[in-house]
Amino acid sequence: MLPLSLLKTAQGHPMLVELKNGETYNGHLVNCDTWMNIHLREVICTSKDGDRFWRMPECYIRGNTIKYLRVPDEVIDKVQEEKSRTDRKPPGVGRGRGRGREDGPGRQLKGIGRGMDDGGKGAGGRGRGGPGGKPGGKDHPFVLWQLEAVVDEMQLGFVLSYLLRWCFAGFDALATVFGIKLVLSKQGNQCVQGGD
Amino acid sequence: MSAGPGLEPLVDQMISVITNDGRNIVGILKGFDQATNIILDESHERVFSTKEGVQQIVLGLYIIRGDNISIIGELDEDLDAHIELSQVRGHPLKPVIH
Amino acid sequence: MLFFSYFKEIVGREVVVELKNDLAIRGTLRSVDQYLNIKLENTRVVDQDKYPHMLSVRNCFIRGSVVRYVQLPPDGVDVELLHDATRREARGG
Repeated sequence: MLPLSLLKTAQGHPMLVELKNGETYNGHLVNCDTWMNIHLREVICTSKDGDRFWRMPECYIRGNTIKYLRVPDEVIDKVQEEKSRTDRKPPGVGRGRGRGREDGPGRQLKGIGRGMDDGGKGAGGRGRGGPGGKPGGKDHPFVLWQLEAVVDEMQLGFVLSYLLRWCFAGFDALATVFGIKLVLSKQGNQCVQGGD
Repeated sequence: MSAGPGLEPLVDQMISVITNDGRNIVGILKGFDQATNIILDESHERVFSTKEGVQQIVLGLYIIRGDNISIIGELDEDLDAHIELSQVRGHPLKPVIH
Repeated sequence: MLFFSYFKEIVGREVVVELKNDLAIRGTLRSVDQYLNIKLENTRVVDQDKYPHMLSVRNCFIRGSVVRYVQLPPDGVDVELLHDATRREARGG
């Protein structure tokens, strides 16, 4: 379990934070980030010697000034609950957003899940990942998307000559030719990006 | 090259932490990260003094920031059981001065 | 990188690690990482009567940032090798 996951889980709970300078802050955790910066509400600050107090409605504390945090005991059980909840989900579902750092098993499936989410959004080739995704080939939606871009940019006669060739050659073979042509001519960069 | 501090073998074990301000906190290691931030469960502080035996103060669930940690020791529970803490006298540790 | 490599060379040897809180710990070097965090085995605090804090600790992890000195085994330093490595590192190789 990562310390920052525990901290995230402690959102809404009361906690005590001691800073490196000895001051302590008691309050409810509103939010925190990956640098351990934290936002507390309903705060009581106590001086290092413990004999002066300040109340404040809220405060932000920079993570690197923190010495330690004391969180309620029950929070650790909540982290475990959340963990088992996500573990029960089928792999690859609903994982599209996170960076997928701590989810261990099923991680290799994540790319597939994401690819399907992105599919059909125009830039179909993107996000499909995997080193095998070369431009053209059998990836028809991808090639058609390239075609649209080409029609915008090329002269009509040029397009016509391509169409004429379509009549003679099979679609598959031509799609491949198209893919390669595009990379070499007009929009090399886009194709490289799209095909990744 | 391993990425983190390699504390995996200590997870769910009793550890003794010495912090930069000279405190000694004992508890169960529940987690850690690259920066040596740690989660300590059921933790308590052992306060050493030259005048009286070791005092134990219950702390509970703690997240200790890595840059405040000097030493993480694996607590040998057999050895620990044979130490009568109330008889142990010692100097308080000095704080780390960088 | 040089010190990282050097410490890896002397894994298994006995060292004394002196910390920035004046605590000195003797033990067998078990491992070191890129931050020069150190793991020691069979540890004993040098002035155990004064600092009995680690009486029941035999294996420990020391954060690299709090290390002041590492006392090396006298025969653990191959000066020639260290010279070469230092020159190589200075050249950027």
